[in-house]
Amino acid sequence: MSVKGESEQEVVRALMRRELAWPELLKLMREHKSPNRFEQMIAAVQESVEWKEQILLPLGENLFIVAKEGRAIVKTRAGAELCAWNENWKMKCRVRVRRTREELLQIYPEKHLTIDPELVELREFYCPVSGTLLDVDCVPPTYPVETDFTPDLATFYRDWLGKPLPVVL
Amino acid sequence: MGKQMTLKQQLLHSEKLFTETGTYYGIKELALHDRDPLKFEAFHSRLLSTIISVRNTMKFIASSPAVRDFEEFVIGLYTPEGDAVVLSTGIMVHVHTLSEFIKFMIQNDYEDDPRIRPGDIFENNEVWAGGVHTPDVMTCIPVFEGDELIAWIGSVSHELESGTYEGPGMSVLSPDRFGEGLHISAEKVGENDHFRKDYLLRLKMNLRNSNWWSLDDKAKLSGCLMVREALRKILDTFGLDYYKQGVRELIEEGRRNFLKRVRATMVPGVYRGMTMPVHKRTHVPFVHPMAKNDFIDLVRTELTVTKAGTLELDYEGSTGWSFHPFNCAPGPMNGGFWITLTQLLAYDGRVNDGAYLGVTQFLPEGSIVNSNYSGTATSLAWWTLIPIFANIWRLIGISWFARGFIEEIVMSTPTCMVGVTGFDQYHQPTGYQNFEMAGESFGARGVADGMDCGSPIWNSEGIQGDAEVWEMTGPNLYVGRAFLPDHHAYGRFRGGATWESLWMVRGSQLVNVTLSGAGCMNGGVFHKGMFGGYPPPGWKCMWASGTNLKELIERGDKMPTSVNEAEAMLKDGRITAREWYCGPLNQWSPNLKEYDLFGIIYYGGCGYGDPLERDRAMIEKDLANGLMTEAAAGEIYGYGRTSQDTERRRAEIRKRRLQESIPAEEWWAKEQARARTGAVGPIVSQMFARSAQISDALKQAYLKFWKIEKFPYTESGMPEFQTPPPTGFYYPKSSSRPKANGAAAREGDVR
Repeated sequence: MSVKGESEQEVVRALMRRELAWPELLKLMREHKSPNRFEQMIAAVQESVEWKEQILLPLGENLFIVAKEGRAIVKTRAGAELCAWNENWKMKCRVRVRRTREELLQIYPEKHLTIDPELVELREFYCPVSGTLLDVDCVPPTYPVETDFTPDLATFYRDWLGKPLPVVL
Repeated sequence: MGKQMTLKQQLLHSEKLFTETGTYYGIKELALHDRDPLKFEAFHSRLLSTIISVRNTMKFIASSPAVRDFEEFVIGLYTPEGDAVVLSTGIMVHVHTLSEFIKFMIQNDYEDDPRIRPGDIFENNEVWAGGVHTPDVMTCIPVFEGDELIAWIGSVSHELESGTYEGPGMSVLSPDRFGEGLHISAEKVGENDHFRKDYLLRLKMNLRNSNWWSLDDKAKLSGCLMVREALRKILDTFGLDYYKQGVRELIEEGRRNFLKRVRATMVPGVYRGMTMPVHKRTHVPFVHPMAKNDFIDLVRTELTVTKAGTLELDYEGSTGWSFHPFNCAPGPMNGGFWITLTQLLAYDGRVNDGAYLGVTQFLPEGSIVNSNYSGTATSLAWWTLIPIFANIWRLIGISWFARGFIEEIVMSTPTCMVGVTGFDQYHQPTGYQNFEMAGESFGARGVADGMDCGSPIWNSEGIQGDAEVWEMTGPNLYVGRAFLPDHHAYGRFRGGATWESLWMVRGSQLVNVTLSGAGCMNGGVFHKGMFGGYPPPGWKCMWASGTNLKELIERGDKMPTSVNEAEAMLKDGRITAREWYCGPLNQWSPNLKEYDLFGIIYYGGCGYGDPLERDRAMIEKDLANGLMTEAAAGEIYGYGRTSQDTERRRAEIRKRRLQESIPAEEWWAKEQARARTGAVGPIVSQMFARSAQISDALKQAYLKFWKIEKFPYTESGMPEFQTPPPTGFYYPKSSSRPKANGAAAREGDVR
């Protein structure tokens, strides 16, 4: 079991680092979904960050819900602690809103750009520490900023994983 | 038991058992499975292999190019109550719409009139009977054992031409159902295993090209009859009692497996998204007055993964239906979710209606996802369905990411579409959509770039098909079909590469084209990318009438091979034209003739992850393949000739990002004044007002987020009118989520 477990962990680490070749990825897609995947992925991601707080749930490539002093908070890979787990983390980021054609042309080629800034604005949310792009919203002007996901952490940990949740929500 | 009950009693009994027990048909134990799992597996394999082999055979019996070359069909086996047991690949949206069609006939007492007898053939493309739109034609037969109906077999094909006012099978501009062609409203069209002559005459008289439709009818009927014959042998092997119990156990097992899969691969919670297809028609010269307006069809989507592992979809806050063919109803919405289930969550093992029992959709009445006007048009419901469900694929991807199954993440693609109408190279009236759109490029995956030339959300088997087949199908000659550099959606993993086609009219003196795209036209964006990935830069189409291409060819001069090249040549005068257009607005061209031009860009799906994290080797592969220019790679991906150069450029871009951005709360404080006055363009302002007309969900979220008291958007831009719902018959219905739950639905969004 330990050999299998170790081997699975290595595969998941390589998956997280995007080091698996296509045939290996295809095998993963086709085979039975391992009940250990969540723990293994969390372990792999935890190895990849420089801080010590326990990761409770990944929200994005560079964004996590972590346990800190008995509470769940949203933290970036670069270490910015944004807010409580169920608050609007985007509002604690730095933002660049592209709302003119000139601003859109800084990222899109002129001959291809047909997005109409009167109808849609691009809101780029950056990690305030590293400048990593965490999310890009495409919404009509004045549309409220909303997060894409609010997990039910208690149900996930206690009922689905059968584990204690190491924070007070 | 079934013999004593009518079909309607059986259906109601089944629904009652599910409501009371929470399991399909009240099944507590999978007795046949548990008693002899191998026999049960053999039973399922016999049914499934029958359906799959029949699908592959039927397209070679008699069929249109859409079925033979572009896989636009599906076939499935159903219980007497209309629940799907086994199904083929193909346009799987219709596995569930067929189910709704069968239930429609049962609920409306077809058993009494027009009667359901051995050898009968029923057909439907009616939205009120579970269909999506007129080109998707369902053909269905009952299977009897003695005098007992024991099964239904159904098949659906997409017809290239359906008698619409505009010409192609799907109308882009019809204001209501009366312009969207030939409706077959859940009708008996054949007896004794033969189509009735009056039905075939009706096709001949109401379609421009009835051959495609009637050939596909024959292919579908042949497929149904082949399955019926095979079923006899299966009954001989397993016995009728085993069959009847077995199909129900398969569905219950499908339901259980679905819940297990959700709990094994997803994370419970609330997922939120929105799509906003932009529709403009005021610039189109030939539009019905009721349809001549510009607007955004906003759809707010909230996906809840519950503790039990069921999925709930809530669309509260979406704008209302209106006089256009993009409206949806429960049939199309349920079908739309079915393509999500079958391609993402229930793609192996027991794929059947059991999975569907684990899903609830709350469709607000009168909204774009649940039109309640009896004359509503749904001819292009897909222009609403595609963005909605592509965005739901993204939301499911967020869930898989959180659970660690990043290899499963995949985003879909819009559909961009060319319709051709007029007289073809054989001097016959024609109308069709070019289904090379079934080869559009995917959005990015969690572990790879989006597939270049992939398949659309609506057909798991979709392909571009051969250009030569399309050149035989209609009066058009390909002068270009190629990838478009620098047009993909940026990200650590990019969206599939955009490609395009350019045609010259060939063999016709009278033809015109409609050009549009699902969610990406008219300056809109399909949906957002994932975790920092971008959407593509936009969509374009073109046409040019009265050109000098004949002279260019005779002189041996350079011909255009792409939309952008044609535009450049029109601008600099190398190509002359009486009239032309190239840009992002959907089009209905004037009449074109021999040597005129039309073209379209097939916008790909969205990107995944911060573009600055893109692997250099992947960038260099795109450079080598001509999918990207080095200049764009430098600007977007911070690409440099060496690793050190790349790292340096990326560090500079990150630094610049921090310099050019501001804290989001600072932005909020500045933007609040604009939000208070509603100083936005008229189309956006009207979108907010239209949402508030039928629900206060978005309005309340807006007031809460901006901390203001008064919603500034009041003018909907729509005429005031009242419309009647359908009356006098049963049809599939849905409504908003009960208020008690809805009020707390967005509690995670607090500032």
